[in-house]
Amino acid sequence: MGQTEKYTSDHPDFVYSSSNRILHWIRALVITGLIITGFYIADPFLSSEGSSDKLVFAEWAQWHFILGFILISSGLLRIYLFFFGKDRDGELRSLRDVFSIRSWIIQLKSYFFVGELRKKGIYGPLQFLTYFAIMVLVVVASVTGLILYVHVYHLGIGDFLYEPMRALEAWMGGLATVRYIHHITMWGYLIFIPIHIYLVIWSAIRFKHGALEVMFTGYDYHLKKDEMEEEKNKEDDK
Amino acid sequence: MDGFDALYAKAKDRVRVLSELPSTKAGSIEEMLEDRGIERRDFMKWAAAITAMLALPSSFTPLFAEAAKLADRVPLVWLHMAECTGCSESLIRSDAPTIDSLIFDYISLDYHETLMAAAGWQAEEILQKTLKDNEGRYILLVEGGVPTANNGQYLTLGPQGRTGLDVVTEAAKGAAAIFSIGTCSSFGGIQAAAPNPTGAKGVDKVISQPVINVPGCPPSANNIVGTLMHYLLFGTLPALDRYHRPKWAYGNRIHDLCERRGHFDAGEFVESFGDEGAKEGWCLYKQGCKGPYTFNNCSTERFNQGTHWPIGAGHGCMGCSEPDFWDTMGPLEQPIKSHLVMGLNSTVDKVGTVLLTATVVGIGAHAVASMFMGKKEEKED
Repeated sequence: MGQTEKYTSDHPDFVYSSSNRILHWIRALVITGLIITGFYIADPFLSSEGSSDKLVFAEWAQWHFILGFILISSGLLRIYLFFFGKDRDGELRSLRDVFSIRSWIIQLKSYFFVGELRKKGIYGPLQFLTYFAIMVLVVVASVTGLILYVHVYHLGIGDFLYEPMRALEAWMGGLATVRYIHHITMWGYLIFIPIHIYLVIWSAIRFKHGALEVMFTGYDYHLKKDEMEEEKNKEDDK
Repeated sequence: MDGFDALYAKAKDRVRVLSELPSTKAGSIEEMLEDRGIERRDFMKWAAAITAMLALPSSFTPLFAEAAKLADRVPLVWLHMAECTGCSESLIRSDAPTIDSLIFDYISLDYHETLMAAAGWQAEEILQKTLKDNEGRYILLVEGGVPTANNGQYLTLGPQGRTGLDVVTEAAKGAAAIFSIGTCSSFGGIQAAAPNPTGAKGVDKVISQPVINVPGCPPSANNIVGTLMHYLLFGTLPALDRYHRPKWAYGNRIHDLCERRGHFDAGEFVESFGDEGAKEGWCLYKQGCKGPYTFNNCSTERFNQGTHWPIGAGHGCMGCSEPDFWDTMGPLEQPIKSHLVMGLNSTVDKVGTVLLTATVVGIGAHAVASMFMGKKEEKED
């Protein structure tokens, strides 16, 4: 009977603060919207409504800009929270996994059904690097997006950023190249999203923890067994 | 004249300095124009137009007309490097001689390989004489890219077989100002397209003096003359952008002042050349127009005596005034999503689709494997 109790009892682990959870879903929605509107801008698949007064393309572009600015502000906030949020400890602790070859082997083996996924922080090393790359993509998409933006709206923030963005534009090799890089970042997200969703569900099933719940409630749930093993590991370390 | 007093004084001073210089020609420009049937009224209209193009107040017009009449005080040397002479053509081709081309023809004869009568040793002598007699005074205009590979041996000219690199370096030394006319001399042009076998470069990359770039394939006559006249009037370089292009000409994108812009915003696109949209003059974005990525004033200044320009004629912009446009803007009649990925005979969208498919297949394989592994472990428990 004791055996059963061990497996049914669980203990919650605080992982994400509410702001980080909200930001995650904002990014998810905004990036989806940006991909759809971005595809339209690259290749306008809906054409005129029969009048030059109905600005079909301009409206799509306008939504792209609105979503883009939400992405920029949510991205900036997320980067700040990574270093200064109240849930930063778990994330920063993952850096220790990134620099540990053993952690890399453990994570890769676990994906091929060998052993469990033990890690020091909340992310495995491969997971950490992937999320890091996604944030880099957000930054690159935001910067290239701003370069393209300052040529469309010349007042306000467009005016304020015009000169620095022109400098970056020249550095990247002209607007056509900027536009090209911007397009490539979209493919980065598009390939990341299915992998991300799959591995979250897979890891929840495979390792029997709250991988999906964590982004809604902020808490991950582990089997009692894990806790006992952790305690045992700590004792071994001593 | 708010804010323009200092500029006006500067230009006035400059005109005084110019008028004290000796003329390089026998007759004055005024006489020349009168001989060719240009009335003073037409000349003043032209002066007013160029003044407006340079974004100067109309009070500058008389001063500018003065400066234009003194254009023969500044000798010009026009060099041809690796190019097609299209830039010269842009300036001199017209159904009747324009004031631009008359003044230009009159003053430029010091050295212009296409226009001058001299050839061979004679031409070489004129070049040497002009460079020596007018040291520190002449304006150097260069048309064409400068091949640098193999010591510049891909371009040799003249009776002594000198390399273009050698000629342009020497001519640049004594120049008061250097203008790169056209995309080839500004950024290397088509011969600098990957893999650039001749190592062609823009003039500013092979000499150390500051250069004003007037790119375009070709640049409009107004942009060439405007840049020259700006120098004539002020004796200094105009405000330049990051690529050293005068801001008065290259400050806006083609897209910003395009006559078809309304159709772009309305989502009215030409789907194929010759369709109903094309007849209606709709936007050419889906036919590969590169106007959104290109800085120039073609839509307002136009070509062939200001009659027309590519988009007006129903073909998209191909981005000719941008650096490396052969490499970054291609294919010319397809949107930029059709651009080939470096080293692969494929577009970003195709590569992306393949990667995405591979991802989905990988996920499926992993999921199926998980099902079997899961069953095995459940039994173990």
